[in-house]
Amino acid sequence: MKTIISITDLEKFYSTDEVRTIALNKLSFKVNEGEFVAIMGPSGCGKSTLLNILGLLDDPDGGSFIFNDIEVSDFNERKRANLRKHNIGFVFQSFNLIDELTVYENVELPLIYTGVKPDERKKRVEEVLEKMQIMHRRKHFPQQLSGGQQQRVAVARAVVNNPKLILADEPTGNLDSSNGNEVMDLLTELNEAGTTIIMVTHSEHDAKYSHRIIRMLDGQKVTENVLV
Amino acid sequence: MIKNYLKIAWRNLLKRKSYAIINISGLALGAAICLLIVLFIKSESSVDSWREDGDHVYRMVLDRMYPGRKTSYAFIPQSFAKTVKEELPEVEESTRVFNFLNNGTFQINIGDNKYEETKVFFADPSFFSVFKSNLLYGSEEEALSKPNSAVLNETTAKKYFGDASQAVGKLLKPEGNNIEPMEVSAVYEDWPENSHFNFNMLISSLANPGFEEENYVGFSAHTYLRLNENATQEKVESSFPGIIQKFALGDIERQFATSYEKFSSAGNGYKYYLQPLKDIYLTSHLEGEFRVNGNKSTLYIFGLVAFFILFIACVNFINLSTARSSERAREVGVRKTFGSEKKALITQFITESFLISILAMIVAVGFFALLPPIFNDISGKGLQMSDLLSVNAILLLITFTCITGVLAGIYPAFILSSFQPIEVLRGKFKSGKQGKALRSGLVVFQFSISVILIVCTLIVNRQMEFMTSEQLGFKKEQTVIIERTDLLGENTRAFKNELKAINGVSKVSSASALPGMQNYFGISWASIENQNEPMTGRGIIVDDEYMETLDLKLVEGRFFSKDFPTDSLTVVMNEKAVAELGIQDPIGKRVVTPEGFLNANDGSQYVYTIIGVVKDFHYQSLHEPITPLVFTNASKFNNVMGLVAVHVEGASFTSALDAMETKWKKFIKDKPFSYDFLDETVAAQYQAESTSRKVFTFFSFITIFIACIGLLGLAAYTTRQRIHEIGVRKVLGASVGNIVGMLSKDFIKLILISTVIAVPIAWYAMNKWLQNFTYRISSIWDLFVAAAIIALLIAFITISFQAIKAAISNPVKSLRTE
Repeated sequence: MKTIISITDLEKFYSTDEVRTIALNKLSFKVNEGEFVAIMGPSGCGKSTLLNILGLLDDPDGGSFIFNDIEVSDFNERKRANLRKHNIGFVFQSFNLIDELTVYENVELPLIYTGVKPDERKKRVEEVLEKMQIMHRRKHFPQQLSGGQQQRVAVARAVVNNPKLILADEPTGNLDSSNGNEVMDLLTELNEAGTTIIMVTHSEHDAKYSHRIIRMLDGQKVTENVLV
Repeated sequence: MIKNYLKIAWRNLLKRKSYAIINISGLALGAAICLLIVLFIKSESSVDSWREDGDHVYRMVLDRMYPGRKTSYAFIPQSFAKTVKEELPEVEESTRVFNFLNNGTFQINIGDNKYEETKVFFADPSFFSVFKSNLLYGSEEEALSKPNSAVLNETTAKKYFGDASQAVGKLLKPEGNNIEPMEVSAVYEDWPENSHFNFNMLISSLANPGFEEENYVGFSAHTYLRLNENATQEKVESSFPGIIQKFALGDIERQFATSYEKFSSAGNGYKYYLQPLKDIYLTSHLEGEFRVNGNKSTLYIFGLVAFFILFIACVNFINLSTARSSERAREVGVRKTFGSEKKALITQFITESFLISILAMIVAVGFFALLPPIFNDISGKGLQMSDLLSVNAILLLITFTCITGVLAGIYPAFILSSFQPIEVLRGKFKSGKQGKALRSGLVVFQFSISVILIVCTLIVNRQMEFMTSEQLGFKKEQTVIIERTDLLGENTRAFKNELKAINGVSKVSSASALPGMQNYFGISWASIENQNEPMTGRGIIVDDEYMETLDLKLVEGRFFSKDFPTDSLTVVMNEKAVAELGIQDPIGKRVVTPEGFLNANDGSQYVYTIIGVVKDFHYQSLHEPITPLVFTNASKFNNVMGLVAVHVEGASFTSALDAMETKWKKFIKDKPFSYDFLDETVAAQYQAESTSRKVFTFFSFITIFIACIGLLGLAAYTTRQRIHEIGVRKVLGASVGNIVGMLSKDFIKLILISTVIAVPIAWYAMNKWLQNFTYRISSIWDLFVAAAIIALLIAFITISFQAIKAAISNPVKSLRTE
């Protein structure tokens, strides 16, 4: 199976005036295409930092990061943005929908930025809204939806571009258990359809949906359990 | 993409309605004011520029030098027009306009209809060769070429004859006196209002043979020259001294009874020069202007104010946008995460500010419709809503929109678009510190301007009060001036006696002039006892009750009196006149004047005796130093004294006025009773300052208002940002006062800094302005303190509105919002 992500000795530091904190300490692992990986660990272990780097939102201070056979650790912001918008979808704990846009428009946004033509956009947005069963809510604004519905919109937005990789940062953190399970089922479905998923979570329950759990502490990988 | 931006921008506006209202109304008000000022400046600076061939037209004017001072006149001796045309090849044509008829007011009868016409002037036949105008009916050659020909403008012709085309050949019968009927010889299209002078009717100067007499010393004719295309102003002006030498010398020596060398070595002289026609309105402020002219420096000040007001309004937008940045941060994060580049975000935010700017301009047009009446009332100008409909004004509006859109949008756009998605999405984001420094700077800027304007307003006000209420040396209250009393002729004394019978009237006096008026005549006097140079000053003809009526103070001797029949050959002087004549113990000293009407008809000179000296009083405006003034006794000049002053005391003013009118009607049946009040006449000298006062007050109000709109918005957002802190403090026992103090402190600090910046600037500017006045207020420091207090108070009220709201809210609520 093809490797989509390969990080080697990845480092990230945060410095304030007096203190230098190591967020990632020579972290190395690989993720293959089609895998569903959960990353777990206590608060402050570097999970989110890792996710940001993997999502090309942040750059590492050291080490190598190969995404889809390309070394990206030295990419500038513009190059990262370009690679990101075509290949990566994001799902956040707090949904991060734009309040001023409707469900439809929120989902449409990534397509606008990748320059998809309006007709094609309409088709794809409607397709994914159907799939997520929120078509009937397409004209609503985020505040008018329940948390579960909002996260479904967020997932729809993450997948509308058919990304190779979905990064989910505690996707069920703000949801009750039944809504949480629904979202996890959605992610599983997507994964089964071929999308690679990397998910940061505190929840052992959610982690069980994945193929592999990477546990972190103080910026380092401690264990790795393969579940399947 | 743009559609998406606009959609977001629009929804953002709807979502934060109060924010949108603050932003849009502030910008709109700023833009409307700015637009108004720009149109005003444009209208002011375009006076006379409608005249296509006006570049070669000049007005010949003069500085009359007196020992130690000078007075500049818009009109000059009547013989120069002809002489310069004959002597100087550069002068293609010259023409004169005489403004003799009681400020251009003229009674005219057509059939049974009586009209009181204004803007009626005598003009030379060459008038329309200098001022090319559109002839509607009649012929240009005949227009003013016959002694009793008259020219009307279209409006006047329509008024008289219903149809302007019917006017030519009709007769106009002037009221009374010995003026022949005049025949309308031509009708011209109305001149535009923006001309430094304008006429309703012109009468041929040939009607008055006196206009053709040789005279190089008496100032009477507005003289305009059309120079040929190659002539330069400098070249023509350099020929004037030669012309004075050649033509005027004899006249001057006769008039002042001295040799020209002695006359000029004493500091006397005439400096003639030219004013380009198109510059007259904005730069000329001489004696005898046709109307109150505009002022270039006013236009500069207005321009500056316009820019500041628009900028202050933009600052509100910038401040509110950056203050609200935390609210927009998440959107920026999401957009960046899903692939937006910085450039696209900048475009988005600029689009938003353009949308707001466009909306603001629409509202501004609405505001603008309300403004002209207010502004015109204040400035005395005639701007209208329809001025907005010109292509230029619309272009201006579009320019404003763009400037505002970019000016207000560019900084927030860069700030907002530079947010890092990981930080803002994690909620770590705090409204930037660099943003806070900038916001503080901008608030300081806004309030500095506001404080400057408040200071200016206060100082202008105090100077105005000083000018109208200070010790002017005479009593101006409760005094009515009855005009046109020259019509009474022999009945003057009888009329005055009737007036004295009115309840409350104690003092009545006839005079040729009263304080605040321009009609003191120029005159020179020489002392027989000492051989000093003649003294040149002002003259006035009064009766024996003048001093009492105005409550002037006598320094020595006595005033004119009925009990002394010989008083017709006496004069009373003010202290300044005595000083300039250089005589000690003036009472009993003898003086002579070359002025014809004060001498015998056969030309032999009367000798006048000084019988009294009155204390100097401000018979002219406080712009001027007090100049020599000589009173001559009225007894033989009843008909030259067009005014009667009536002092009313201890009775109803209105009923006294009614009684006066009744008395007037008894003597004069067909002329209206026209009157004025002395205090208003005095105040009218400061019309320009009174306008500045109103304009400053208006501008400072607007500026403060816009600045406060911004402050209100800013206070609302900072308060919201600190809502958690407020909650915690309240839980720990802080009182409402503590919270309000805490929230206000930062802003109050900024206002104090503004004051510190504003004070030296305002001090410098107002010191300069006060230099315009020979007599001015000296202490102004308390006004700076007052301005600071006003600014602080207004700011505090604005802020505390928000602060109190936050402080009295339930802490549990504010803690939950976090």
